[in-house]
Amino acid sequence: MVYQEGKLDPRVHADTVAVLCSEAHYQRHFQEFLRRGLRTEHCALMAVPGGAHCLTLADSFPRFAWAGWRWLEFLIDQTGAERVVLVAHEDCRWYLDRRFGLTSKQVRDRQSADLQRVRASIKERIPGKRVELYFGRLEGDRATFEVVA
Amino acid sequence: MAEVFRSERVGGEGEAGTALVVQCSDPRYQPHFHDFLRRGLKLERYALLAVPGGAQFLTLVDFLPKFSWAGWRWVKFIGDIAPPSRVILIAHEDCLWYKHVRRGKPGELRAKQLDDLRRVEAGVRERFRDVAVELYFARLDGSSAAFESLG
Repeated sequence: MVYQEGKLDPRVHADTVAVLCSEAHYQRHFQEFLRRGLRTEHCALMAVPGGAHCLTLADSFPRFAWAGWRWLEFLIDQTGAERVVLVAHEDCRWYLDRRFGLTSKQVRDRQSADLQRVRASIKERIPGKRVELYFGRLEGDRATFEVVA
Repeated sequence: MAEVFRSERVGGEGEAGTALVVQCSDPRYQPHFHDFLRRGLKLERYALLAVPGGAQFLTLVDFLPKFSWAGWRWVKFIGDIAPPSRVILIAHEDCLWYKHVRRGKPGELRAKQLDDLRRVEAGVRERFRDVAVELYFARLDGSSAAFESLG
């Protein structure tokens, strides 16, 4: 729900804000996962390379983090979403970029740690939201998504 | 949800080239954007940048430079992986981000949105050779949405 001059605007309600990676091979799968897998009715979408990774970069690349947090907080505030969904995926090339200095073996653990870190940050900055973490991987022309505990 | 969700197969019958789509995050438009890209433009695979206000964040060099700094670096990263042959920029009516950041009357906001799309188009053309840039403006029409090509 959106407040405009003291009135609720029901048009822009979302039940979920999803933060995803930009990766081309996953977009169709992400859409289906949000719609059929998570049964989102109205979902605001934030998609940038690395997905929620940008929200962890306050110390190393603060401008990515600055932009990411403003967008995420804007979406949650404006839509009244109670649920935030963060989805990472296998073979994410953003994580393998040289600027982050990670080997391919280190990436999966870092992604899980980053998702959990972002969940903690969201709960601290925007209390009361349900934050769910998922990890996707391609299997041929399909994709699977599992919960990250 | 089951512990593991498995998506349906994604066919390869659509666009084979590399496309980059820049669109807004607005929840009202997500199903329509997806439908437009898949059925309207026949895109099977595309890299996606979706943030509040869509492509506008790439224009904020002077006003809010951190958005622009981050945005063009993300565009470069996507282009370094696979230079896009086609870039699709979509703005829409009643954009909350524009109302929030720009403020102004609806007619003025639309003009600003179109101006921003043109500016981003120019920026994309500076960065990528031989790229086709397509601009669209969407508006809700009941439970469906109309997408107007801006050339």
